[in-house]
Amino acid sequence: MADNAHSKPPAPHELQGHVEQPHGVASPIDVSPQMVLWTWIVFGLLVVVLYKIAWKPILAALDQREKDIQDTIDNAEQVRAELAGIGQLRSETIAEADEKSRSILDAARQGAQEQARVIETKAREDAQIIQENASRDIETARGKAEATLKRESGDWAVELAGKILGENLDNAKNRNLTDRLVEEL
Amino acid sequence: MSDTAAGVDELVDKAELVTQKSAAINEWIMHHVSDSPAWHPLPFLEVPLPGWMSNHVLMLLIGAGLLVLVFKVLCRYQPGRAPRGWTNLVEVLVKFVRDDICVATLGEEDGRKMAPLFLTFFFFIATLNLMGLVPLFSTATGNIGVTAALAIVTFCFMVFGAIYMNGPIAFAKGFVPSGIPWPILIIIVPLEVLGVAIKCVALTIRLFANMFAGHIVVFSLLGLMVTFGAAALPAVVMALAIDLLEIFIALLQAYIFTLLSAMFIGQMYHPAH
Repeated sequence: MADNAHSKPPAPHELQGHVEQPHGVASPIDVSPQMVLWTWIVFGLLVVVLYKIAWKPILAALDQREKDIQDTIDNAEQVRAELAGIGQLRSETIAEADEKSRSILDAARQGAQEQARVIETKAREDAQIIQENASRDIETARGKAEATLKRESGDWAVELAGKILGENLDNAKNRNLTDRLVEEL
Repeated sequence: MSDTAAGVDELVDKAELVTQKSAAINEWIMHHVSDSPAWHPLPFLEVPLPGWMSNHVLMLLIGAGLLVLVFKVLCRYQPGRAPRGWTNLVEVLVKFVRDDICVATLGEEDGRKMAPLFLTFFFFIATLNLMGLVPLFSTATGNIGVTAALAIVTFCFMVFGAIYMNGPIAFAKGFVPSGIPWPILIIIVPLEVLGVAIKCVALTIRLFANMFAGHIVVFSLLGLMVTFGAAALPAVVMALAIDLLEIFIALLQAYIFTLLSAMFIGQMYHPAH
């Protein structure tokens, strides 16, 4: 070892040897044409193969997804607009139905009032007719009763007078006399 | 006096030993981050590879296979059901790349049309970067050939894509900024033309150096253990911290490569900027 060490003073030469020629290994900055060729072949094939199995489907999937997301956003916007339209339509329909029901109710109420009025009027008329009939009947009955009373009382008076006078007067004379008496009475 | 000499000798021996160890570690690190004709999934296990293949080529193939497997098996769309789990995670990343990288730099139409290219950039680079942090694998993006190849793809779109989109005349006009006096154009135009290539070289080196250097840092910290023994134990904690940082960097660099590619291509497609 020491021998070896002592026999090595020509260091510069040794050093130079190390730097320039590291024991058969090619310098790292030598471009080997074989290596370049191989790289081109492998890289070229890789571009083609990866394009087929990777880039095309992945890029297509990315584009498709971007498109899907955009479509979904657009669609959501459209649905929202539609919903707003539907909401408006709904409130309009409700307002319309409200209006209609109110008018129906009003009409029904009006009809009922009219009918009530008609019934009332008719009842009143009927009552009046009944009252009038009753009055007339009373009047008639009174007339009859008066007449009957007149005649009866006349007869009674004649009978009474005859009895008093003891003599029956002529019927016609009698009647005239009676009438005159009654008139005077 | 001879005591002192002995002490110095001892010190020199020690220094020599450290130098040797360092050299060994250096060699080991370079071996580890460089491409090799065999796959070393575990320590002391070496899987020899056929001559047309190397370790990093195998990593490219495994990375591509993993991606295909992940997307084929784990990403599923069932009609009428929301996607779940893994599919959601992938969707987040896909949407990020499409909207925040492609559409943001190339515009709505071109961005969507070119999204598959940038998605492949992002996922392929991220996978290769992350594989470097998994013990079984190594980092293909730590090989400058790989990053150069990817940057050349960007370059082709910057040049041929732009010619296809705008026509050769508009493409050429893109290198001549308007409203600048002609003597300055003599300097500006070559710079603009060179700029296209320089941008791609920068792309190449940025990704390569980040991945390469990250691993060297981790290995160097662990190498301190070999050189200094238990005294270097705190370095392991640091190595762990760097390793966690590497996870972030792996994703960040994939993002940066993809974003810059999209920006450069977008600048060439719409030269008005």
